[in-house]
Amino acid sequence: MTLLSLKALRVVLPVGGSDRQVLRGVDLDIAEGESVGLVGESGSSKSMTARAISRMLPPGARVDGRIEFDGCDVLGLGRKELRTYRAHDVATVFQDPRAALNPVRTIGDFLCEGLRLTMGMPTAMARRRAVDLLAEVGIDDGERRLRQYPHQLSGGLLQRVVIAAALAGEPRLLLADEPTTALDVSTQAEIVAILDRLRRTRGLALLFISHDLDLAASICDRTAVMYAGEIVELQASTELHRAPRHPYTIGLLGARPDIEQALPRLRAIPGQPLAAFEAPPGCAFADRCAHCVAACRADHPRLEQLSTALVRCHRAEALQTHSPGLAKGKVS
Amino acid sequence: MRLVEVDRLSKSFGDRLAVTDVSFTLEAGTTLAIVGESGSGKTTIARMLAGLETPTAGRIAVCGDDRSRPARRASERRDRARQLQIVFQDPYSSLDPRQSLSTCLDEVLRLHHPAMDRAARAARVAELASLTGLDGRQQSALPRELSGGQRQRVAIARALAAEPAVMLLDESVSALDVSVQAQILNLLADIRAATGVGYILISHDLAVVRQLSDRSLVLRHGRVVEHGPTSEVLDQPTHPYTRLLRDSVPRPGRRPARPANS
Repeated sequence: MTLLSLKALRVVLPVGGSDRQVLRGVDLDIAEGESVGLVGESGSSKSMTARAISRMLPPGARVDGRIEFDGCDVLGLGRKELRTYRAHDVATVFQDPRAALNPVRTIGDFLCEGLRLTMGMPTAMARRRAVDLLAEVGIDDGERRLRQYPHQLSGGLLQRVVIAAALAGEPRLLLADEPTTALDVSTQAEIVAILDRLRRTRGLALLFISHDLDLAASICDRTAVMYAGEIVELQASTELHRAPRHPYTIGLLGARPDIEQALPRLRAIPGQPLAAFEAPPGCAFADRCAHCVAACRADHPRLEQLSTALVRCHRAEALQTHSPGLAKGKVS
Repeated sequence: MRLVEVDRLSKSFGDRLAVTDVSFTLEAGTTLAIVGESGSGKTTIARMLAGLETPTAGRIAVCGDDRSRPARRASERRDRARQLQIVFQDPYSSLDPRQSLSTCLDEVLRLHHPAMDRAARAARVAELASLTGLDGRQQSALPRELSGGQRQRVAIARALAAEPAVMLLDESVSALDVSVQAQILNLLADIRAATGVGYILISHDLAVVRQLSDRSLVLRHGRVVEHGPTSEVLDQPTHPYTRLLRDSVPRPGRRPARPANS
């Protein structure tokens, strides 16, 4: 059953007196208990998508389209309902755990505040619950941790604390915005494993935002690739790696150095990523694309079904039949 | 030719050992990767190589010159800078916001190559800009007008302007978008082939290490746990820590392992 549904979501932000489009029509469904990756480079507005879902856009943002959570219109929520929505329906974990915690309050204060205020628990009960939540994210000595301050914990432990806090309101959807980017690789693997386990044990839906296609594929059922404020490809994560359809996805997979072998030369994508507001009227990727034809610059491609994938490319079908060896075999 | 020789290098801050007994060498035209996670001491080693920290024990020689002691005179410091240049991780904070690419490179040329006249410097600036893939318009642009990838090209051009024998790449491609990171990695390989410069690549990204380096050194808690040709270190890691790093790299179709409790 569909838990979250984005329909033709557009967001415009006022920047220095002028309007800048950051989302140019995003359609995305997340089913209950499903994990979806949202992958893109800087300026692709993947974080803005998450902020739109949790209604945390900067002041003055204009939102067009629909966001439905469990059938309910999120954009129409009043202040009180919004509080409930953020506490019990959709929780967010951000990139930098040090920015999420108050440095002069203990871990216990941080975890218990939410439990007392949104769940109405008395302090002693909140502390017991906080210890349980910490155990759920792999922190065994919770009692001791509750008395500690953020500076006494490593980045990986702090991110676990933030995830524990996100679980406090028993949410049904977790938005994880680059939750491991600031962490070491071995710590990253632990955090990702915790998210994956929580999702399975709690039936939690997950929107995992990352710049790393491989990382997203390791825990997401489906992956959406964003470019310049819109989704350019969406399909099952394993399929996306096996048979990418959009030239940008193909380019991203090919540009990444390979851990198995040094390549004579990396297949870099020429040029640089566009931000949504810089996008031309046609295909936003046209300038960097080796397969660009006149139609690509003239018409804005729509997200269309091509075998198992949704692809926003005029040339996808032709490319699929003419160059089957286009994608680089990177599936291990 | 041997560019760098580091022998039993140690550094302690108070009673804390940051780096213990680290030895390695770097040959011209090759790349040595220093791999490790936060707290492994890799940045401390970089800072000692650059002369920003003084070693507690051990010896560092770059181009045959000992630099274990601080430079005594400005000219000695300048000579050391000419031998070894750094490209930092964050191109947003490592460039002077008021300097365009041309003025930034011109300043380095005047300092390190005083014999060059204005015309020779201008020609060299243009040459460096084209080597790093920056066009004429970008030469007069201020850093704020450039993208992250372009800024990192400026930082590389600035390091090359001194014509160093060694370039220290301290997580220089980590902050870049994947599509741009590939451009910069190709560029670094081209520059190495064209100039014979040696790289010391400090990185936590094993795929980047595989792509650019010949030899690798894995650090943990300031000690070398593994050292050898990159292909051997990554294909047949002998130390459990290297295996852990290798296994932590995400791959599609592989579910993450159960987390270790800590």
